[in-house]
Amino acid sequence: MSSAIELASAGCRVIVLDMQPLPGGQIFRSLEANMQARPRTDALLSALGPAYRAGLALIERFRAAPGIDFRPGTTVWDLRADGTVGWLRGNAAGYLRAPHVVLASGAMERPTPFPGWTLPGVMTAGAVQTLMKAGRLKPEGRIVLAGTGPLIFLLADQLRRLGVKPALIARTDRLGDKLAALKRVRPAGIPALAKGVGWLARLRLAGIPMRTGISGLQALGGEHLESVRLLAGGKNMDIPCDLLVVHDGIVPSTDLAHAAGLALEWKRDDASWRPRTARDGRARMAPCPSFTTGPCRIRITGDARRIGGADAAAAHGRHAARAILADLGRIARKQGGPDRTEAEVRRTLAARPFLDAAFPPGLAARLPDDATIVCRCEEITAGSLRVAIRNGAADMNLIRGLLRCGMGPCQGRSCATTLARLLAEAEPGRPMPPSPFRARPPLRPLPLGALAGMTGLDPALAQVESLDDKPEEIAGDDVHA
Amino acid sequence: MHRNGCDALIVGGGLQGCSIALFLARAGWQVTLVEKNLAGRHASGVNAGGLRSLMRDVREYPLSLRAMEMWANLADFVGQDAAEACEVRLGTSQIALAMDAAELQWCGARARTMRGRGIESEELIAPDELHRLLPGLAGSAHGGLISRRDGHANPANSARAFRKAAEGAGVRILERCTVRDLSAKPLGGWRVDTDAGRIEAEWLLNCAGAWGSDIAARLGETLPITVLALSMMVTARVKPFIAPVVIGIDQPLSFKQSAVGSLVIGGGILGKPCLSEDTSFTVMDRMASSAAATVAAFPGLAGVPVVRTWTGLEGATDDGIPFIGPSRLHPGLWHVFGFCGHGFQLAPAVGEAVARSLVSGSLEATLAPFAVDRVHRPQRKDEAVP
Amino acid sequence: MFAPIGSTEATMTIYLDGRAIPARAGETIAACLLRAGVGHFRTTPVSGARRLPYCMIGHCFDCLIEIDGVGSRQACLSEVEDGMRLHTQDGPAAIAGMEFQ
Repeated sequence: MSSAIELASAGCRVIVLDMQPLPGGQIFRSLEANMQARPRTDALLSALGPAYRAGLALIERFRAAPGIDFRPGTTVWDLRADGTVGWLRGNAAGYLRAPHVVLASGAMERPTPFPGWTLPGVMTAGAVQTLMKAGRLKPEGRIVLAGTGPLIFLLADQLRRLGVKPALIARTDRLGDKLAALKRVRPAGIPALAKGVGWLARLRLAGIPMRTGISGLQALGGEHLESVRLLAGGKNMDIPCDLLVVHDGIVPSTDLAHAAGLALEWKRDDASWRPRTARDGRARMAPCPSFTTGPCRIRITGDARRIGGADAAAAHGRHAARAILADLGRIARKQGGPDRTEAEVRRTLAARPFLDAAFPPGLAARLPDDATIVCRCEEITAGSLRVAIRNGAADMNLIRGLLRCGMGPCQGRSCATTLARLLAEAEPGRPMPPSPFRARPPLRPLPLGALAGMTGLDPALAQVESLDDKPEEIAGDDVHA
Repeated sequence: MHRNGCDALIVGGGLQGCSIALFLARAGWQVTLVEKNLAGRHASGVNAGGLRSLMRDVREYPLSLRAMEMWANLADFVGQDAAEACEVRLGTSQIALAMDAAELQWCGARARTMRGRGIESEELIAPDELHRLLPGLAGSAHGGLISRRDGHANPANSARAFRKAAEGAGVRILERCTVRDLSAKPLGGWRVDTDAGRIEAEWLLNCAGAWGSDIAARLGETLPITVLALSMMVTARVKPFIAPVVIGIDQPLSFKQSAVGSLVIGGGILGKPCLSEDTSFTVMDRMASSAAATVAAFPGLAGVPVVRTWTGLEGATDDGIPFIGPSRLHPGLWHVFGFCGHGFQLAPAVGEAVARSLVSGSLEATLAPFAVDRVHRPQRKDEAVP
Repeated sequence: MFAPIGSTEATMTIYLDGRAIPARAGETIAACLLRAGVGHFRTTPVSGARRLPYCMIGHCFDCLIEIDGVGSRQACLSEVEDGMRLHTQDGPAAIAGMEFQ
């Protein structure tokens, strides 16, 4: 939204494609609808807190900005470095082309394979928040929150305000992580730190049991989750449970960037890939053959570039937009030191070094044991992947072909990082695969009917080249079978 | 023999190269195969997996018939486990759909011509049987041609099965191994420098697929092909509903249901080849016409989502059939490439026939139509090869 | 597992395997079915295991369901419509207009 407002205010025509029905991304999800709802939804709004309601100003500016063509309910299933975007809305699909593309596709929760994570009744913290914001639902019954990261505290505090008391908050992080992280606190990050201390204090006051340094999480049950088992303070705990909410931090969504042939880099501390970008978000091409020629027309912003949360995303969105305006010659390029928007980016990211150190990946810290499913779609276990790797399969794509790992509808979004780490585990010193599975369009399911009626085809490419399989008869030939 | 010497060196680890290697090794030859990427990476592993004699060029028919027998008894050649992994389904039939009167007329003419040649397997199919075999088929489908013994297999698994069988028979397979230099030895045989060192061989076989022309050109021989990026679409899994493979006549249509339930849709739509970089790209702009042909024939599939696409590189000759045979210029050299996107079914028979020809010293009759010197003979058609 | 926050203000009806479920305009199918206490949206085509939504933001594809005869639709990205007919997806998706045993 911030990029679009900045660009539209300078007179650019902007098309915004969004998978959701309303603007606001995941953080301000359904905010407009919740503000306008009758009967009123005060309990929900007060539980979600002032940070949620604060998004309304941005949404209103977005709605009011002339020159923004907002297309909700639209999925993007192809992206090319030359600025071509494949879209799907309802049963219609097509290609758009723009001289500049801003990729603001956000983050996903870190995939965390553990025993039982596919059972009904196991969900991510983001999923529960989405159900609160967009579904006006709150969890009920016996609830366990497990994992790490600020979102666990935020969610627990929101649940507390709704009168929902989890049976346990089981944290993988330890006090030691916090103490070690303290040296990374910068003055600008202190408000975030204070916010966290506040959450923690309120949760303790509400008497919600909390354990730190847990490990060995398992979800147990037949056709539905029945209990949670974990190791806390050296002892096994079994907790009867209806809903297990897991969270292990968030990582950039790299699917579109990767498919466009943009360079990714593996972040070891974060056990994930992220796109390689310049400070203004300009993406770099990966060092491999590209489908398109010419300059890369893509900038990446927000959590899709670097995890930073709402304020950082808004600040960087403006910064990336100003870089485009400078490219277009609509504003003067700032000489010398950082300009206003760049300073804002730095300020809003100030708390990140502390947060990253305080909440290292927990559930995903250790690779899953052999019996655990890694690929949720095709139900491929870590054990079968390890066997294939031991038998010499040294390449992500080869393993996909052998075992169908990553071949299901999610296209490897849930399993690619784990498989990459299993490959690295097998041969210490082997470099991490430079990217997830080879990505070819469509990146998201594209109905045949929509594909059949596609618009906006590139005339140069749409020229159908085909094998002419219909045999021509050869007159007078004397071949007989 | 020199430590790195062998009877035959095969360049290219696709299905054809692995099949030839397998049959030569079974005949007792020492065989080395070099593959610059991974075996079966391109057209061999990335095709529709059709086991089709329907609408095949008549010059390929004798070889295709033998291949069909071999697919039916695949375990005899590649072993039980590998044969099972290939998911061979024969007798499901392949059907060429006539969607309009002109196509129907063409089907009638084709069936008559084939019968005239003594080939009875391509029959006209009546509308009621057509609609019974193909539930969900649009009412506008008029009829078509059916070849009842045809079927399909899993291409990627088949490429792996032949590779594994070749290794099991004693073939030395070197992957990620590029040929740097090729030269004929003065007294016969070949000296080939590769990433894995120098390899000497009595016979050299160019099975380099899309790179076949390049290898030939390095030895001074002009055998032109067009490089193609064969592309396929794969849908989400759907409940089993169709056993035959369906192909179009003038429509870009080809689809079948795989063993796991996904629909594999081809239709000869091509992607963008990138030969020098050893890769290719799918072009969704072109896939639209293939999707349109599929939905026109099966309207109920409009809501079925495509979840993946594949492409792999292949070479096509100007006259639509492969080059298989000894070089015109060099003794001890064979070319086997340019299968034009329909070599998958032929592969077992190609391996057998080439190996027999080499071992016996006399060319198998089934290979006669594919002689490489045909490009230098006067052409029947106007578009003569340079 | 989930209860409404405040009143549900349901003004529509959708049907899951023939069972009527009250629905609220603007909510996703996934939210509506979870509120109704539906135990699973689909079974997997590999092992037949039951699945419910996991991520709710379109990444995990565990919320696949059959909507008005079309299978493999993401319930977390699809809004309810009055009178919509849903079916639990049993393994691979069904095809519109075709009968399967």
